[in-house]
Amino acid sequence: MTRTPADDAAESAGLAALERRAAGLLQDSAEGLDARLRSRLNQARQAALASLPQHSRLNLAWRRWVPAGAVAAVALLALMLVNQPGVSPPGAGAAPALVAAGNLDDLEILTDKDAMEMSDMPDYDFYEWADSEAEGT
Amino acid sequence: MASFGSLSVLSPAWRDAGKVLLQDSTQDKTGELNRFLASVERRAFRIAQIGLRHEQDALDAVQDSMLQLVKSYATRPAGEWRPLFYRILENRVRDLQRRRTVRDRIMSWMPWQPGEEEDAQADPIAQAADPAPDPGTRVESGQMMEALEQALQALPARQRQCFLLRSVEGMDVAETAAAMQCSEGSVKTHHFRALQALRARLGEHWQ
Repeated sequence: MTRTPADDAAESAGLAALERRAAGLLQDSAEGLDARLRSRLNQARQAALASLPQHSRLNLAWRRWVPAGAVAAVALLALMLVNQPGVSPPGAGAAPALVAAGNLDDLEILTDKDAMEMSDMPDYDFYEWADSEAEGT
Repeated sequence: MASFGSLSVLSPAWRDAGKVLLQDSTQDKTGELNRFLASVERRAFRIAQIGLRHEQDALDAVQDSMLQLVKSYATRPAGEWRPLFYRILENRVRDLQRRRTVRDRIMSWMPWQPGEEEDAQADPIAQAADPAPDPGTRVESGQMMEALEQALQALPARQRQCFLLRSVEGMDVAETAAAMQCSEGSVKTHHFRALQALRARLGEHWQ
């Protein structure tokens, strides 16, 4: 025997009807629980809600403000960077170039091979001693 | 605590405003959780009761699931609570079934039953029967309801869970898949097989 589309449709309709009927019965039985069971479920719910951890409550409250705080912090940081002394806003290109050039000069002095070594500095202790000797004589 | 500590540098007016906002937010979340749990608790109890065939165990399973959801997942978006809650409930039902199997094995070797003593000491108010027959009791006492419960209990656990979540709780395929931790294709297969099995068992009562 081969199944026809009509058989499939009839089966689907039968299953759907059975499902509706079963679901209706079960939902009615759930909604019609007696007062004692409803009271027990209510007590269970209140006990569960009372167990909501304090730190979670705080986290829940503060979590709402995290995005706003992050945006404010980023805006503040951007404002501080733009208004930094010696740094001009984008478009005024001359000032940053001068600052960069000054920094490079300092670097050259420090790395110059011909720069005066600290060991080449005059021995001030010797001159002070010689001066005091001369005054003594 | 660091958050509260940072409030101390604010002026009293700002500090009070911050505390009010914290309290409002907490009350919002508690109220949201309360509404969610109230909306699912009765169906969840019936689903647990069908799986466990025991009223007190079903109540315990629902209470434990509520506690677990509140403690572990209260910060999740409210839209995720339902599949999470039913996933916890199913795990709890399975744990209780296993525990009961072990307990029954042990008790079968004992000459006395400790449960009898516990029943004698139980709270008489809690144990008192509700004098007024309610619609739920009337429906449950009906032949169709009995047949349906027996047919559901005869189903494999995954098929039963799938049928109850889809048909009784009204979850869509994606939510059911999230609750059962399986693919949407598996949900469709379980659901179809559950319906076929129910029809095979209930045919004589329901046609």
